[in-house]
Amino acid sequence: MALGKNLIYQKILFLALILFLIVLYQSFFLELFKINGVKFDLPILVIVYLAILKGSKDGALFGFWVGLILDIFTPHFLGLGALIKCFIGFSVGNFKETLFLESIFSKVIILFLSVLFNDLLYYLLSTGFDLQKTFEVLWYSSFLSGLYTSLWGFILFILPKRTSIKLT
Amino acid sequence: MSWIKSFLIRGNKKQVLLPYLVFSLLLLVLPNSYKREISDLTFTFVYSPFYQLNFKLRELYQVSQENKRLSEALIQLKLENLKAKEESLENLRLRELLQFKSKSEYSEFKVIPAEVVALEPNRKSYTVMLDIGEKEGVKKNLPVINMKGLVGKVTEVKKGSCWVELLLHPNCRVAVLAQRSRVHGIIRGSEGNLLRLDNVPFEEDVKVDDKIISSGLGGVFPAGLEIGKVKKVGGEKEGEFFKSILVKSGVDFNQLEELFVLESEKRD
Repeated sequence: MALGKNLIYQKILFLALILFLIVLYQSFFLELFKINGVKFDLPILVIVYLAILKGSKDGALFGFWVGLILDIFTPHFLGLGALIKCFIGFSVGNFKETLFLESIFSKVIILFLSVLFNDLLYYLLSTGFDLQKTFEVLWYSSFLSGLYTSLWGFILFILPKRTSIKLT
Repeated sequence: MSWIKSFLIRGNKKQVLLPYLVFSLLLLVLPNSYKREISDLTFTFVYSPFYQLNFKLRELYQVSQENKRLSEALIQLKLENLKAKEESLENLRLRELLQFKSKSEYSEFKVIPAEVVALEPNRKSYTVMLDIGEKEGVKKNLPVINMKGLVGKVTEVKKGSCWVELLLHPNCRVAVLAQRSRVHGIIRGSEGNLLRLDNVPFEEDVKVDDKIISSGLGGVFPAGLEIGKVKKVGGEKEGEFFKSILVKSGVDFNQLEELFVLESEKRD
């Protein structure tokens, strides 16, 4: 029982750390990492990375909380980002478990598609299925943002794997 | 397509998504006022400290940049001042050689800083009260300036305060000249925050944007104090001898805060 409790505490601590990282990034570095208005989507990168590393359950957990902490900025759609990111985390985790993603390029492609999928769902639902507006955002913003985030993802994925905290 | 189904819902995994789904939907269907309250509260506790820290750091960086810029400007001004002093000394030497009477009777000034503590209680303030007086060495008729130029002169002195008559005051007159063409005239208050330059004959060369400085004639204001720039030149009507010239002062008379009283050490 004590071991189980320790694992829960570890998981909560790790989640708090991830959320702290996201808040720090949103507050300090969001503008710094922008290139010609193209933003680096760190939250999606973190969710995809953790989902690949830890699986679908943790992917959903981190996706939900990271999404929720970002939903604060759009109170009207509070919960929407959490739901979408939770679904992305869960799906990527399932991909990893089902298709055994090992190649770096397949992980990068999953990351790129996650950025697009996140924006596609978010704008479709928040604009009431306004296809024109949604595809404008996808074309002018999400596509480049996905490429830029994938570049960072590539760097992250080629880093040597260290002993990770066992969360599940 | 079975693999899609298998990766989305494997065994009891759909139970994993269920609580998140329910919680998200609950949040989504909340009334907007509640959502806003939750967001505001979370923002205050989670993001606000970081945003404030970020703001302070940016401010600090800007101040540091400004400080650097001002230090460079200060060095530049010091060099210019040094050069001006050299030229002043050279001027004195040449004047002595030519046996001219020295015009530098105001060359040594003591600058007394002051703050405006009261305005004349009229709709249009022509006089202001400063927080310095006899104790600080203020005397009647001493000129008052700020960073933008001449503001006025001291008209009444008490122990701890004094009244300053602004350039806009109908009674205030200053002997001036156009810096470029050395044309002399008299400045007095006009409508609004503008000043009128009188006694400039038609044939004299005064143009828009010419800088107007005090000439030192009259003995109250030292030579060289900036008054303003010519804004409008006109009034060439038949039967009139002088140009009608309006001067825009660099001083914002509606926002006077920190002023300096110039005390000439050679005045007494």
